[in-house]
Amino acid sequence: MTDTTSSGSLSPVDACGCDDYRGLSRRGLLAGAGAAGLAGVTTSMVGDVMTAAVYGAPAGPGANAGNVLVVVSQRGGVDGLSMVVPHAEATYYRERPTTALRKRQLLHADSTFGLHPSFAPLSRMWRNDAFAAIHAVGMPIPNRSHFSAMEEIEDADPGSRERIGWLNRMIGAFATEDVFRGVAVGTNVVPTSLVGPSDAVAIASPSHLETPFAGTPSGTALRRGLRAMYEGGNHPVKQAGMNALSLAHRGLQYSESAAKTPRNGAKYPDSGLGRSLRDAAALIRSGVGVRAIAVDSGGWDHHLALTSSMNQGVSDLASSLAAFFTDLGPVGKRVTVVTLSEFGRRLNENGAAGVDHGYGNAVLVLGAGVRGGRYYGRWPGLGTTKQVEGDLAVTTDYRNVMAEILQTRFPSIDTSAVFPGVTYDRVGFMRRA
Amino acid sequence: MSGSLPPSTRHLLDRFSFGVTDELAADARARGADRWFESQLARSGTESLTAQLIPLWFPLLRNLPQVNWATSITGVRSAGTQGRELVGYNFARRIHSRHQVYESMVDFWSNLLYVPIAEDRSFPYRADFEFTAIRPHALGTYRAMLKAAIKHPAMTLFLTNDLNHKGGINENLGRELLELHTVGRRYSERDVLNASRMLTGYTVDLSRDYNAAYDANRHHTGTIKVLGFRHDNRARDGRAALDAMLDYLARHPFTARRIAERLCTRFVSDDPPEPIVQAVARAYRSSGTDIRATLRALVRHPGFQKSRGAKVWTPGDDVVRTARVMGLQPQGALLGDDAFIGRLITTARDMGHVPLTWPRPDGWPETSSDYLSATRVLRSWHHHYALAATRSDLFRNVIVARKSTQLPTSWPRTLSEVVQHQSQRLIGRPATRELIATVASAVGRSTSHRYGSAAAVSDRDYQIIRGTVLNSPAGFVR
Repeated sequence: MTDTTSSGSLSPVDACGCDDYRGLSRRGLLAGAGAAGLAGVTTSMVGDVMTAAVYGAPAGPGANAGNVLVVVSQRGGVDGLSMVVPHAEATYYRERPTTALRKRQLLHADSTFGLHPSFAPLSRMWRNDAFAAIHAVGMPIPNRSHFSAMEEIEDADPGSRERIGWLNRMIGAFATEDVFRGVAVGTNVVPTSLVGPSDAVAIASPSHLETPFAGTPSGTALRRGLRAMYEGGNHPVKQAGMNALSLAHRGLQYSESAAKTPRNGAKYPDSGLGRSLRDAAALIRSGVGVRAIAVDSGGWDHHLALTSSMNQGVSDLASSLAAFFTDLGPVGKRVTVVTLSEFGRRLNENGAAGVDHGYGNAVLVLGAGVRGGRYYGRWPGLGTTKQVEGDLAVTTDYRNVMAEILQTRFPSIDTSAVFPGVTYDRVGFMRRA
Repeated sequence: MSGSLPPSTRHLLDRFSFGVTDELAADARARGADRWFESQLARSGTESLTAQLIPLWFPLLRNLPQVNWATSITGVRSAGTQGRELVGYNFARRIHSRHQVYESMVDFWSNLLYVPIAEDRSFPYRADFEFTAIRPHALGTYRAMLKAAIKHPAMTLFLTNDLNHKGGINENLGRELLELHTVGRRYSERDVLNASRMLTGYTVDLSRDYNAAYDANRHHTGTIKVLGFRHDNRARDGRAALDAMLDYLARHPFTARRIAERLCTRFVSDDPPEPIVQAVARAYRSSGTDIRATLRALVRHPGFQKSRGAKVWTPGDDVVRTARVMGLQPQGALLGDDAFIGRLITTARDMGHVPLTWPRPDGWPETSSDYLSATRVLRSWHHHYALAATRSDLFRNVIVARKSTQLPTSWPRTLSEVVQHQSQRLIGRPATRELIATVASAVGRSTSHRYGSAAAVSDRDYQIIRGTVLNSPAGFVR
């Protein structure tokens, strides 16, 4: 399969045979992940009735006031110990003789942690208290398989046989449904987190929302003809066709917004993540009413050469996110970004100066509502008795982190319906609603 | 011409083939529906020369699992590449094979006794699983297929049966065997534990060479009771006892019911009527899980013909069907992702559905209306036009049928008549007034415009006529 949005491929060899997990192309295999969208027919979308007028207001009605959540998935399993370095731990230096980062290299170090030096483009946000990190986050039970860990973390409803992602449950919790509530950008495959009964879309590029031959006389005639063929009747195919026409119509708002150059002098890196976040900013500004955006960042499967893969990866992540918030300008006051990865990495280095699949991880939050400029979480320590099978332990359930964002930025949503069975326990990194 | 089949025959072909080509229609017309179906069940008749060449397009699929493992860890041939080749192999067979019912059943069973491609643990064995557990039994008996699949190292690894031993029971495979592969959710936790105990003994050496073996020292001995099955299970080597349990489960009435429901959901309708499900379940049981007898009961039941047009082409089937009916014949896979077959996989992925990529043990949903998201429809519209063209970036390593072979043979014809002809040919249904009007306005001609010859139909008109037929609502149903 070809993939137009491949992101930084770093090295050819991969000890677990999972080299496809390095770039976005692996998504293709997990297309499953995306499934068919399993999209029900949304009753709220009828023909072209839905227009900008309905969804254009940046601050929609209700308590959520047009807020947006952007989930950046660090695919492959990012090494949280290199993103947020526990520089006070002797064990860290002992277990990673060639790849540990020295305290003097770190940014914004406190007595326990410091940030990877490649986070420099986000230093201003850290100093402005708009960027925070939470450590020792993960799933309650270790799962070191890319395949099933990703499925589990994005489904976030252990024990359920239904395949419904947590972002899908989130967008399903709004009073009205709309196909633009939850959007995956940079891919045509709906990620597991967005799969479910509430309609959601994956849009690799705004141009993918066009009807055939758009912009030509044939295209105009065709669009009219398609409408004539598909309108009327309850047949699911006819309704799906009308939804498609409606999506294309409203997609114009998005493509017009995306055609403009980024604002405020924002410069995105030329990478998959850079392009995706640029599209995400355009989507937010377009006023189609998006609430949840899923973005993929590939290249985090550090089986070898941890140092170079982290340098490149964090640099791409930081400069992409910095450009994103620059581009958004004041609109950024509605936008919260959180990172999520399927698992952390093993504490000790392997024979290839890399680190294998592990457990506990670090999560980053940026933007609206964040009480930033500091590190959160209950640090379990790295001593032998504190490890879980050679990995950093988990002291904060990742669903708790997500729930805190939802509770503060989307107070109308019942988080217990989004994360069934989780008793929310405040971490404190978000300002109270 | 594929348009002139009786509607009942056309329906049978729509459901049990990956698209009605001239050759398929001629075969069915010559034999009649019943004898055609029998010949398909018997897999009589030689394969086309191209179909016989397909294994040579994917020579590495026959690599030993040990080689697959080694080539993936050295970066030569990743798990993903191996998986895509298997999907490509199946797409190629679906396009070219004369044994359309067989290929349909290979897909159906692969989605029931399900092991995804490119899964972290099982991928080195995935192609072998298809070649040794599914394909030999796809038109045989479910009993035999179940035994082959459950004991295969790919299934062992996917559902962690290698971690299941008498000192530490792992219920992963035991539970799915009951819930997904046989009786459905009609078991007790006691049944799961006992089924899992019976499954102990299988090992795969993941740390070294991926060799699969049976280790009697790991097998749990002692009486096993699962539903109504009871076995002393005294022998250290428990494989004979396991076979007895699998045989019992395959024949169980709950299993008959589950298989019948799933078959009817795939081949009849998303919510199949009770009488046809019961008839199919009865045939399954009374034949001793014979798949051919079961399928005969399905297609002969009046409920089958009543379901015309009730199923939607899933994206994975749609890309194959479109290639077939448009007269596109891939000639190899040497260009990998850039070859036509590779592009079909990419397109199917963009529509949200590539066979064998669903990440969970339950397989892709068989309910076809699940595949009707707005973005899927938009992408299908584009894809149908792309394959309706006379030339395209997609057409690498593929023979494109000449226009004159696809259009009517007698001329002149009005635009209406050409659209009517193409609608019968491509989707086996008459063109609606709206379809003809849509084509006319998109090509900028009146419906009574006269084409003097096939050559007078411009490439652009040809593309729009054919693509719009598939893009009508009727073009999405089968």
